[in-house]
Amino acid sequence: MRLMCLVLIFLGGCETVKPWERGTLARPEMQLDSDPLETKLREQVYQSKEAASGGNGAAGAGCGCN
Amino acid sequence: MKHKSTTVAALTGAAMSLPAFSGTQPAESTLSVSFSQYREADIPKDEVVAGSHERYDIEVGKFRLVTPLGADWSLAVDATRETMSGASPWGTLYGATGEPNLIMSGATISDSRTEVALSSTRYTDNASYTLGVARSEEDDYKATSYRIAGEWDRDNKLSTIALGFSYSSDELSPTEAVLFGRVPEASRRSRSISGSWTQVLGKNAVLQSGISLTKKDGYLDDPYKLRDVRPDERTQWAVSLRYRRFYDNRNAALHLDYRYYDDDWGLTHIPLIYPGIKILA
Repeated sequence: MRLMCLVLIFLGGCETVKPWERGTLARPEMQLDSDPLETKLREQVYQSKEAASGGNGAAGAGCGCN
Repeated sequence: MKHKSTTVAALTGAAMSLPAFSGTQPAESTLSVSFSQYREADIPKDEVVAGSHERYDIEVGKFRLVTPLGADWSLAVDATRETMSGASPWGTLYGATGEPNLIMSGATISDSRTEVALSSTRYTDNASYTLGVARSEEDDYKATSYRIAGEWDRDNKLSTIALGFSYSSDELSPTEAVLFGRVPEASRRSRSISGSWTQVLGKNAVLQSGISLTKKDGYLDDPYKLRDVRPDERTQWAVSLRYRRFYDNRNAALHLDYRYYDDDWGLTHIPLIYPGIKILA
């Protein structure tokens, strides 16, 4: 429930961004996966050590490791 | 005046082509290489009744090539080479006072894994579609997986909806199966569906919420444990939030990643927050 409230607060603050105002959003450090290799390694360690996986918003194919 | 209109149109066109948070065709080929090494902490000697107290030492090398193909396609090649050595827990033995003690293997376990993944993406004005296949091989574990995914931009690329499916077929063939009474061969399957919604909150902030559901079935035990009996089905689900905000006055980007995980094996509520700040030179 707290999460939903947090989401709604964020979305309540949405503003229209004109196309020419998107320079900052296009910066590499603003990407959700700014380093795909690091993200994949982190996901693999998380899956291996926590026995859990998923939820990162992308369809992964698993690490194929035991 | 005409010149000004033309300039504005060109700038607008260029800005519209700026990436939203969906897949956009790469403008040029990109090659990435990384190498990681980590070592798990040794187990205290007084907690081990047999075997080695040393844990794994793992080295991971990764390679990624992404290149455009024609006007509307791209190809991504990922390769991973992983080597690991150390000791693995075999089981738990309770002491006279009820405290758990570990039975470990010897420190001679050495293994390596190689994975190659290929994926291709087709781009349209407001969407992208990806097909991928991957193969992972170890001495005792082989997996082949497939995935299909799509992303759709909405609201002038201020929001993006993504949906994906994946399927993996894994084959196990534990080493020294006869000697230790392990299952000689086994298989398991995994099917997963995931979705996400990415919303631009302002010119300096973006939020993504994601959800995934995974079902596994087949032989889900660990064949290297002395006595490991697990259900032959597992359902996992997770939700996530990822937030990015750029602070112009600090020239830094704030990253907040949160994930909540649950499954029907009783592994519940793992709230994780990965905060990060990227300060630029």
